[in-house]
Amino acid sequence: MSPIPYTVIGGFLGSGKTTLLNHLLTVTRGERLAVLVNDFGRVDLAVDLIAEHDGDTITLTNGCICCAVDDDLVGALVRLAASERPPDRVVVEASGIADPGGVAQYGTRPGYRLDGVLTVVDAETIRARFDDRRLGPQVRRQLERADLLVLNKIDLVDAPVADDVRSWLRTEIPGVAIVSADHGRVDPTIVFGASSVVGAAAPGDPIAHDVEVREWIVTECLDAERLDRFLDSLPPDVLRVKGIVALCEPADTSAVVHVVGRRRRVTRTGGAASGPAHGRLVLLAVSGVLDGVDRPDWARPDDRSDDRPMA
Amino acid sequence: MPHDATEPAITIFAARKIVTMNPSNPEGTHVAVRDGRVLGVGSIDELEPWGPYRLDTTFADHVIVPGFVEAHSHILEGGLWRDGLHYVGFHRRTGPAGEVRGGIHSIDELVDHLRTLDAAMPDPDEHLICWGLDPLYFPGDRLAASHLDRVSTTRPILVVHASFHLATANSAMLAAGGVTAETETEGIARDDSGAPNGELQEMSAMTLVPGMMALLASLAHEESYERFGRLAANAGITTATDLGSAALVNRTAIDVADRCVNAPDYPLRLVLYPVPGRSGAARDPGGVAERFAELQATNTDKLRYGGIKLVLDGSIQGYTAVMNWPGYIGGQPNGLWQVDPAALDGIVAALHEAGINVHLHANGDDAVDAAIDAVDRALRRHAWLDHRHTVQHCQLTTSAQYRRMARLGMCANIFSNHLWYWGDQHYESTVGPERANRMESCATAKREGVRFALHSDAAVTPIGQLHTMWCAVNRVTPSGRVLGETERISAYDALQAVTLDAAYQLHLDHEIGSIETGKWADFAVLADDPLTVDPMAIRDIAVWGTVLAGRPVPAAR
Repeated sequence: MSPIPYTVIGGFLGSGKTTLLNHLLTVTRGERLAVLVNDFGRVDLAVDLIAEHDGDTITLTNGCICCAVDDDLVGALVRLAASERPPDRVVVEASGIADPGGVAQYGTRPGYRLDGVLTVVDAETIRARFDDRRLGPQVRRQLERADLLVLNKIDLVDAPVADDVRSWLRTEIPGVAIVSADHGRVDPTIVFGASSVVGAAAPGDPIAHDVEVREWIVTECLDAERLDRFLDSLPPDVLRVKGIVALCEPADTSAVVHVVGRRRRVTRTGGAASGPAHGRLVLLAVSGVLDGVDRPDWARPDDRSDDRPMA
Repeated sequence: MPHDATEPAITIFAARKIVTMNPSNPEGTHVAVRDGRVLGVGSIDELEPWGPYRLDTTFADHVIVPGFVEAHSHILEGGLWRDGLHYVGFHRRTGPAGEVRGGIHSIDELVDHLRTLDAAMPDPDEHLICWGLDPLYFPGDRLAASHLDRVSTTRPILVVHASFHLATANSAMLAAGGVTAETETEGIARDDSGAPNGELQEMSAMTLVPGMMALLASLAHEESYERFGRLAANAGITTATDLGSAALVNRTAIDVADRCVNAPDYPLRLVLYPVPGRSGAARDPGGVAERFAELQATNTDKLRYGGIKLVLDGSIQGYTAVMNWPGYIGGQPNGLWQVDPAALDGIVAALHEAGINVHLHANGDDAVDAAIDAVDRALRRHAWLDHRHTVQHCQLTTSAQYRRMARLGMCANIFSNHLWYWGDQHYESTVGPERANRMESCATAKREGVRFALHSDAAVTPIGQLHTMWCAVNRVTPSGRVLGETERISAYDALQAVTLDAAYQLHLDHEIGSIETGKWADFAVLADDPLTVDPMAIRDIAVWGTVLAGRPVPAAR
């Protein structure tokens, strides 16, 4: 059985983690998500979404579950992996004071695959938090351990202030990807990958314009260095890259690519990509960022929009 | 002169000496008990007017003091002594049945001991799980899988270190957890080739192996309560605490405590200080107060919900305590807050206004500042003067902080056992000589007017108030240093700290903590008088056992 992708949502108290999780639980379609929270304190789901509430577990009508783990995260992970129908993905809420990078370590257990660490940042308060005599170092660590930052509550600050915060974050945390959000409403593809969300954002909803996707068919085999060079060349605000490409050497092997913000995992597997193509890559980025990315000469656009490669 | 055919309702215990901790009647030779409570202490003549009695001379050669009160311990200590878990620490430690374990001084001794345990296990697949290893004192190599493989290459073995932040697994245990060179978890120590060498650092790596999961599961078991009760009674303790109960987040914890502690034969009063859920307290402190009030409504004579515990920082020896300038002597980064100090004010204020006694874990002096500030602000909003909010551990508290605590009506529970178990490390590597000399500064607390208790934080150190007294009175370390001679206190003050003043910070000093008319007949029965023996011999005084509500509870031997 393939390992369960594991995502950590970190961020300081009040940054909007729970709001973001509520949002994710509501918009996901087709992917059975297990969201693990410390307690149900602020989990606030529409009544018509809740199919069953049994002690520490809320089951949603869309197949997702939300569990309160009471500081026994390992126990919950063991139970989920061993359950009859394990979830398609686990999303863990780190406590507001915790180092999300530490919580991420549990996603390296056998049976799981650490997908990424998202830290939610309150655009209004982050700089004051960062300078706090007592907690500044812990806030910094939450940012440093993130693969991707969600700059939340963007609606509460003026555009120039938001720009200032963004460029300040880029100086403090070099190379980090930043996506903006209000009320925790990030495009769910950032968390789930491009393939598993259908109809997440209604037309005209501003979040639909936050990110764009580019899908390529890879036309030849690559050597590992060439692949690395390409991934290195991508700008920081490419939020996700997912794909599989055939490797030239050794023959009949492929590389599976998972990039979430700054986190990159390239795993070799047996068996070449099937069909005439040598693989596919899907890039997901903040709108406009991909305009500056040149398509390499070994890739061509995949126009078959209904034939997404990673379903 | 029995008044009917049955046993008289009054028992008079005769003793060599009774130390009451009641200043207006400091000692006597007899104590009269009826309905589990003390009628009086004095000579037999002074007690006769109470009516017909049975004279019990079991303790005629012993010294009776008030039952010890341990105001910071954990039920966990009982769980660690379950069958199938083995103590392998450097210092010897006594188990619930009176068995003495540990005293492991080198890796070779550990391997020999594990071979003996392995040979005694009939099932070749059963895991061998040990705890309490203290390699701090070991010369030479760090413990690795290769050492443990000398015991067995087929039976999975796990040795958890005393800090509970490290464990060492043998190859079979690593394999059982699927831990390989490819496992990416931080904290898997590796050899030069990248292969795991057996050492697992921090919970995320430790819980990769099934031995650790089994150990954690076993600690939640109700046998933990049984064994904890035995350990406490063996040490002369009649009231202990579970400072960090899960009762606010876990229904099972409530039921288990009720079933075990309220059973008539359970040899201990237990006071629970639950910790709120990790984020619940900051979000909804009023809700936490309400749920606690529901728990408190179930209080009995033996099982009480005393208040709420909040954890502010980590430990000094783990470099996770939050320090004021200039921090750790080696320049290590400052420790980690376990709660947002800004949110702490709101939490403490809500609990304070609800009349709930709050115990705040604070080791580093900045964490102590945050604790005092929160109580100060709560008092400005709401004038509950008799709150007795307590700084727990209170290890690096300065005299200025003690002055504030005194004025605010706060208490301290001082971790005196640190002087012995980590005193040399504090002197040499964590905070340096000056601050090591004023750690656990009982004399300063007394001088500045703060009522304080002494504690073991069992299972961090073994439960036993004669040892915590001994540390506070002598302040010696294993290397023979005296840490801060001027912070030594008298045996009398130390005894008061582990009886009446420990009861005070639990809001129980009107019921327990001294032997006087009306209070529970809870005694520690000792072979000698801690107030008159050579101070260096206090920790070696033999404990006969306890009397709980008038009923003798002999220690296991």
